[in-house]
This record gives sequence, C-alpha cells and structure tokens, in this order.
Amino acid sequence: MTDQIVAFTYLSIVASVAGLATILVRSPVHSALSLVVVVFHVAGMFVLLGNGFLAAVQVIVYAGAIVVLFLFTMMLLDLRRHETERTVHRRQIWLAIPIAVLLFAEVAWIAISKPEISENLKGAFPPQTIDELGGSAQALATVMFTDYLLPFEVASVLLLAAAIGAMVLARNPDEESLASPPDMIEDAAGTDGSSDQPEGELSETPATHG
Amino acid sequence: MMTRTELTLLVPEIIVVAVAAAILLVSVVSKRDNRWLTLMLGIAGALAAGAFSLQYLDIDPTPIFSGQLTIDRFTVFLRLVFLLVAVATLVLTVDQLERIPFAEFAATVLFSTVGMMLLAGATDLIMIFIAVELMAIPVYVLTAFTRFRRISTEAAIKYFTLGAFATAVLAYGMAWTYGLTGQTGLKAIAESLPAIVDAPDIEVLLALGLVLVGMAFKVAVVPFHVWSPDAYDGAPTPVSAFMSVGPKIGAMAMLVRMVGMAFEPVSANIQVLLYVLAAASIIGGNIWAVQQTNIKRMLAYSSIAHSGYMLAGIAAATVAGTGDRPFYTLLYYGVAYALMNIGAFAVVFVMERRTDSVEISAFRGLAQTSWMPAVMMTIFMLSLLGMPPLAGFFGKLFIIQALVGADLGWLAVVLVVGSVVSAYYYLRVVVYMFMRNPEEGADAAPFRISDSMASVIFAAGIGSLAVGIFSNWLFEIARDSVLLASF
Repeated sequence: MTDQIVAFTYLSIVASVAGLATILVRSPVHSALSLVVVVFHVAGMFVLLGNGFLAAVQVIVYAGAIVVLFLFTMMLLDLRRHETERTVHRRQIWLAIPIAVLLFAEVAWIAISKPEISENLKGAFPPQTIDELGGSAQALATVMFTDYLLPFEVASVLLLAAAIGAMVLARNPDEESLASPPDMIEDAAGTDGSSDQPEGELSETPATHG
Repeated sequence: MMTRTELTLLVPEIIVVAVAAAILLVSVVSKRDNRWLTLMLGIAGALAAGAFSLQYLDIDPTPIFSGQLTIDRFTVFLRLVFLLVAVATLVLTVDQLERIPFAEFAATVLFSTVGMMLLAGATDLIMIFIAVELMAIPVYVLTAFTRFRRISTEAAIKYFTLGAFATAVLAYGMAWTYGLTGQTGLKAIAESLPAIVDAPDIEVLLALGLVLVGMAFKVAVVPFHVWSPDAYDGAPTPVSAFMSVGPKIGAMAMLVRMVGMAFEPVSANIQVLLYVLAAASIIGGNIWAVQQTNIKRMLAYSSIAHSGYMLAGIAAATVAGTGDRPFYTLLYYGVAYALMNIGAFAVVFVMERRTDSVEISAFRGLAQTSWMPAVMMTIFMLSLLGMPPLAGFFGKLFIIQALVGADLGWLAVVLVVGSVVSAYYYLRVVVYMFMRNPEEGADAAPFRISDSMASVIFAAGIGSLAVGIFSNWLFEIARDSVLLASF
C-alpha cells in the first residue's frame, strides 16, 4: 500500500508540475514536450489503478500520435514567431481562471462529498467483473464489439467524412481548376488574369450583365 | 449480438453510406467531375433508402444493436425528411458553383445525412454523440467549400470553433448523466433517475442543463445563436439551405428523444430553462431579423425565431398531462419548415447567381422581370410568416394549440406577437418584388433559371401549399409516428 502511495505521490506531483509547465513555458515546442511528460505520468496512474490497457492507449495515442502531430504542425507553421501569444490572449485569462477554479471545485466536491456518485461511476463493470472477463482489455473489447458495435462502426464513417473534408479543404485551388472540365479552365484563366484572389461573390464566371 | 433483422433495419443508412463511397470512387475513376452522374447516383441512393424505410412504416418500436438505435415510425418519418433535404441540396447545386468539386460535395452532404438519420433513431448517449458529430462535421466542411471566397472560410472557422465548443459542453453534460446513473441507454437512464432524484437536484439540473446548452448551440437558439448569421451568410447558399434545415431538425429530434425518454421523470426541472430559451429565441430572432438588409442574414435570424417556435413545442411537452401531442406538432412543423426554408434559400440562390448580391434590395421589381421566382418567393415568405392555407400557418397553429393545451398561454402570446413582428421583414421582400421598380441601371430583361433550380423551387412551393391544404393528412401521419414511437 505504501508503495502505491509513494508512486502516486511521485506521479501526481510530476504530472501537475509538467501540466503547469505546458501552459506556462514560452516556447510552444517546450510546451508540447511538457505535455508528453504529463501524458506518461497519467499513464502511470492508470497502471496504478490496474488498467494496463488504458495506460498503453494513453502512451500510444497521446504521446505517440497527438503530440507528434502538434510538433509537426509547429514545425511546418514555424510557430516560433507567435511566442508572444500570451500578450494577445490577455483578456481570456479573466474568463479562463474562474472556469478552471470552478471545474476544480466541482471535481473536488464530487470526490469528497458525494461518495455515492463515485460508486455509480463503476457502472456495469466493477473490478470483479473485469477480473472475471480476464482483464481490462478484454472487458473493453467485449463492450465495444457487442453493446457498442454500432457506434464503433459509425465512428469509422465519421473519420472517413472528416478525412474527405480535410482533403477538400487542403487541396491546392489550382489543382481544382485543372481537375474541372476543359471549358471551366478557360473561365478560371480569365478570372486569374484579372485578380489574384477572386473574393467576390461567386466570381467564377465573369460578370457580364447589361 | 448482431442479427440479420438488425442489419435489415439499418439498410437505409448502409445504402446512403455506400452511395457516398461509390460517388467518391466514381469520381476517382472517371478523373473528371461528372456532376450529373453523381447526382443520379445520389438520387437513386436516396430513393432506395427511402423505399426501404417506407417498408417499415408500421413497425413496432424495435431497439436494435443493444438499444443503440430504436427503429420506430418517428425514425422512419424523419429519415424520409432528411433524405428529401439532401436530394434538394444536391439538385440545387448540380449545375451551379462550378468551381467546387461536386463529387466530394455530394459525398459530404450524404455523410451528414446519415448522421441525421442515425440521430433520429439514436436512443443511447454514445450513439447520439457519434451521430451528432457525423451530422455536424460534414456541415463545417460544406460551409468552407467555396473557400476561394474569404467570407466562406471565415464562416466555417466560426461555425467549427463554436460547434466544437458546443460538442464539448454536450459531452460534458452526457458525462454527468452517465456519472449520475451509470447508464448510457435513454430508457435505462429514465429508469434509474427517480431513484436518484428526490427534489430538483443540482446534479440532475447540471447534467440536463449542459446537454440542453450543447443542443441549443446546434439548433441556434438565443443566446447561443451568434454563429448562425455569419455561418449562413458565408456558406454557399445551397449549404445555407441544407444547414438551416437538416441539422436543426436532427438536433430537435434528439432533444425530443432526450426529453421524452431519458429525462421524462425529471423534465419538470428544466421547464423554466426551456421556456426562457424559447421565448428569448422568438423575441430575439424576430427583432434582429427586422434590422437585416442582407437576405441570407435575415433568413438566419428568421430561422432562429423558428427554432424558438419548435422549442416552445418541446417546452409544452414537459408539462405534466399534455401527453405526446406537442411532439407530433413538432414533426409536422419540421416538414413545413424544411419545405418553406429550402424554397426561400433556393430563390435567394437564383437571385445571387443573377445579380451577385444577397441584399434584399436586389429583389426590387423582380415581379416585373421574372414572375415565377417572385410568386414562389411570395409563397415561401407568406408560409414562413404563417398565412393560411400554407404549411407554416398550420405548423404554428398546431404549436399554439399544444401550448394552450399545456396551460402555457403566455408563451403562445409571445409566439403570436413574434409572428406579427416577423410580418414586417417577410412582407418587405414581397413589397420589394411587386411594388417597387427595378433599380436604375439594373438588367430588366427576364432571365432563365436552370431546370434543376426551378424544379427545387417548384417542388418546395407546391409542397408548402400541399402540406398546408392537406394538413390533416400529414398531421395524422405525424401523430401516428409519435404514438407508434417508443416514448
């Protein structure tokens, strides 16, 4: 038991400090790296709670994929120029601090004064059920591929839709005019000649009224 | 466990997803944006999905996939409405907006439609959440489709940011609900709530309130409406038509399921919140609409007011002893609203293509140059205003009856006063079209409207008339849809 308390103390202190560092350090790259530290230590907490699967997912998805994505975005957008962002967002702080305090108070209130809610949170999977199923990964898989099979499948449609949307929005506009039928290319060439940025309402066809 | 019956009941959604995927594949193989082929595929898919849905019109409420979805007539009814909205959007766009890739456009519209269809039947928090996202994310993309216009990109960013924020609030409310009850199924939540609630409990209020606020963002209800005029204005006009109707009715359907099933034991707790949101929307939407000179923004505020009318219907349903009547008035209202709003945006689109302007002044003297769009726009404006015998009149009438039946006379008065105010801005368009001369220097020659646009406008116009004249017929179908449903 004391081992667990020592481990929990270590994990929670480092996670909290790294969490503060994530929002306080100046460089966005350092911020992202602090986030990796947070993620690893939260994963450690999942291990302490006996959920190895969630810990692995936490490391693979957050540390492995999402933070790497952050770093790539920063590299590609060259975010070093925006290090003074905090001065720009000064006003938001007055909204952010009360909300953060409120959320913290809420969590503390649930944890301390309402033990019956935490009891409910165990839901259909109290620890002994999970043990019977053979571990948290098995328990999760059982639920996901039986009761929640449909949302799981629909999530793949959602990802497909989002991927197509991202491609449409990220595609180079010049390629679009090349992909359209030949008569459209002439039109596009016509408007391209007149202005670099056709921002007018639906200016794909030259306005020739009257 | 999944069975064949369950899959059979899901065939309409599967067809629509398959058609969207087929459209994308065809566009890759044919290398060229073959718009009419795409449209035909889309219409064929919608027809097939609609025909399959109709087979199960008289189905008893059937929970499938462990209660994730419930197929009942309510689901079937709304599936048909959403398929119609999708087809109207595709037909309206097919020979317009030449610079956008139409195959991707069609697929995105269809994905969003699948989200709405699933949302109509979703009876589990997880399913509801995924369906809401599948409905909303494609619409953010659609808003930005004409991204060579700066206003379109700006609108999409605003819509996306606030939409994501609303999703977070919604998810938070759902998490509270799950934390309180330990259940995700709406039925199961309703069963376990009475054990937890003895008085208006602050946790239940918080859970319900957060879910309600999240949905209020999605349907654009005052004071959670600020994104909607910018989004409607910046989006390509067919998309404005789509998003003013589809996601709004989808979110309302979800709210009906939530209030009618999950939160029924505690719905008295949120009455006041619903009253305030409905009244604020009716008053705010109508007053702001009066001040608009841009017709797309005017229609955006008008649709905020219409959200208020629909929310008033849901508010009536929370009053004890009203039964299910408010719910079927809502279904009727949804159909009426879809027809007249799509029609109005279609005429605005015609004018936008014609004059490059979405100002109301562009409608000056339209009746002298082209009578057809002028007459049709008059039908839509009068229907939105609520003139008999048009669809909008009966929609409002049924909601007022439901409100009076629920002893909410004051909300009915707010609704009527709001409608009187709305006469100013709806009739102004009619006055401009028929009683003003065209602006100096404007092109006075009559102009041809493409067949696809004209067919949407005519269908919506005839629909608005027919749904009004045969209101009893549709009202009975809507009533049976609710009575045969599972709440």
